[in-house]
Amino acid sequence: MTDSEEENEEPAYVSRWKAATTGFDRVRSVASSLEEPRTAGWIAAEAYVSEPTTRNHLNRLVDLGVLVTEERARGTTYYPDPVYTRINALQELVAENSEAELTTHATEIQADIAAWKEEYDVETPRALRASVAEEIDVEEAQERLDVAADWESAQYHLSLLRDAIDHYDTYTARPSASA
Amino acid sequence: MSDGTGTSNARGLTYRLRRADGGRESSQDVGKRHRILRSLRDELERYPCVVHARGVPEGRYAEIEAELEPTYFGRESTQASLRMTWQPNPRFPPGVSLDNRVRTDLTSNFTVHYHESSGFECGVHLEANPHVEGHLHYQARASPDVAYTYEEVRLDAGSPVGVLWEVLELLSDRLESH
Repeated sequence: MTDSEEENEEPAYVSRWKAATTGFDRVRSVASSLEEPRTAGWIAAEAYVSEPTTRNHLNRLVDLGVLVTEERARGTTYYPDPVYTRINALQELVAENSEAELTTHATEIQADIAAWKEEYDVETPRALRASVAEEIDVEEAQERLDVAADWESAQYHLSLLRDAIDHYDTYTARPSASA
Repeated sequence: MSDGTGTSNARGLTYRLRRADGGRESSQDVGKRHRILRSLRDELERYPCVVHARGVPEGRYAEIEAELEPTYFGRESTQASLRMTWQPNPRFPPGVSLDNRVRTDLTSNFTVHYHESSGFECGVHLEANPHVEGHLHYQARASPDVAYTYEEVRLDAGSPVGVLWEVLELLSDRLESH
């Protein structure tokens, strides 16, 4: 198949995506948003980059600590490194917020959690999810499930914020200029 | 080297990832949701008419909000915004399951919803909805005081960022022809 025939078969959205990004951008963003470990072939097909090039990009990302690999029956799979992911989130928090702003966000999340506890009369998101039963209508059930997911997400963010606040000086330390 | 149940990083350290389909999935899913939303925010900022994208509420990151330039779609409104959610491994209300899902292989829930200052709004949603079969659909209304119309749509992309570009293409087509 020639390149032009290949391009003709691409969905319309891919042209706009390719015009705004490089092949490395697309491989990195597909790999960084993976929902489960995937092979280089799967990532190549999603990113619209050839498989050998995709494999090279993925191996660079493994070397940089962005991705981890796993040997499975279907071949090597790639997935975001959870340690890199957390550190990257912390980097963003301390880069974009002062220590006082981080504290304010933590206080706001604690207030959100307190409000959910009071509104639904439960202590945990698991208990809120368990309150969804057959007798509740579908819309109310979906709302409770959505709030439970947001609640768990809020707890996760609180853990990130506490980490960022507790180590703010370390995370923002820069070497002093030499004389 | 992994034994098939662990993963290896650049330094050869091997450790276990929690199962994606059960066990202690909740604590993993919240980290995954945050990671995916941050990837989607970065990707949105590459889209030609996106002025700025950020996680909201600030500090909690429940969804992504982007400011758009509506003239890119041939719209006359002066302001437009896009909101996007993504929920991996969603829990479903009683009587609803992935067995009801068609026109996509995705197992997550998501919404990508466009609003403009004229009052018009539209979006592509992958979630259970009593007005449309199969979860995946397009919905639109001319103003907040009228009912939505619904339409079945299909997606081929399988990654969150691929879905974002495919959905934005679909919305672009609808906005230009509306």
